[in-house]
Amino acid sequence: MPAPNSPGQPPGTELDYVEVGDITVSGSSGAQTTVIDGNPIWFDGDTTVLIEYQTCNAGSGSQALIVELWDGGSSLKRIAQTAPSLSWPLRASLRVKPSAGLHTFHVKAWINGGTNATLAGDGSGVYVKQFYRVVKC
Amino acid sequence: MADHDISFGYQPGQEIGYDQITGNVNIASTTEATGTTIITCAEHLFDGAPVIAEFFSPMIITGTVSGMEVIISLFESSTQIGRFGICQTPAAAAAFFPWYSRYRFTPSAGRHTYTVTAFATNTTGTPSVQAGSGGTGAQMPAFVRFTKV
Repeated sequence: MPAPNSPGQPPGTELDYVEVGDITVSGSSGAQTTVIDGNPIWFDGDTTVLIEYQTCNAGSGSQALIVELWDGGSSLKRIAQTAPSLSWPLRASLRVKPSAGLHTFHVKAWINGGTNATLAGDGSGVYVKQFYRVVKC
Repeated sequence: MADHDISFGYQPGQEIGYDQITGNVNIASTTEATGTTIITCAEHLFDGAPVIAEFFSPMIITGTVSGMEVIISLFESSTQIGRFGICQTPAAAAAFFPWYSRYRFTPSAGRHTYTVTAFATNTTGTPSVQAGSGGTGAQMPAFVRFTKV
């Protein structure tokens, strides 16, 4: 089996995929709620990837809900923010070229105070699960 | 229908099927099992490996009752594959959302015909899925697309 990111794999190749169920977001900007932990991926330093995240229902609480993408212990970007008291499907993506070596990505979220938010992924019911996915560009 | 010889398999990212609408569809159904048909796909050929199903509309318009919901699903005949997502208006006024959802799943090898449907928990205010032909001042088509993982 080839390494997760082998030279010669065509664009569109999936390097990682993780799906999870419902997550209650109660964290703050300094202590964010982990939504999804990705798997380690080896990079050659010359490969660009698209990292995408989706939930079928981002339900913000009484304040803004912010979603961030992390690489290990560092936040890469805020990839989405919703206004208070909204409920809608959310998909966000980020195109990056990671440095050579192993990288493990994480999706995290936090609320700007107020009541808790929910990122839905009810695989036990009829909703599609929320997921994170990495593909080669 | 763009079809392929299943024996060749598909490359990652390759388009297996694409279906679109270019006109608005009002969501009249309040019942999930018999939702309003938004897009009826052509028959597409799958190789038994995982695919991504994606649905896009430039705008979903909710109804005008606070808390009412619009739920959009993928069906195969009467079997619900899953809910693509849900949106809700927070006030007694229509809310507008662009919609783009994806779902990764594994159809069995062979031909499948899928349908995108929608229902609303309340139809006051005429919730709808918006779509157009593009061009100046016009909405782009709403579509569903299947690609190989």
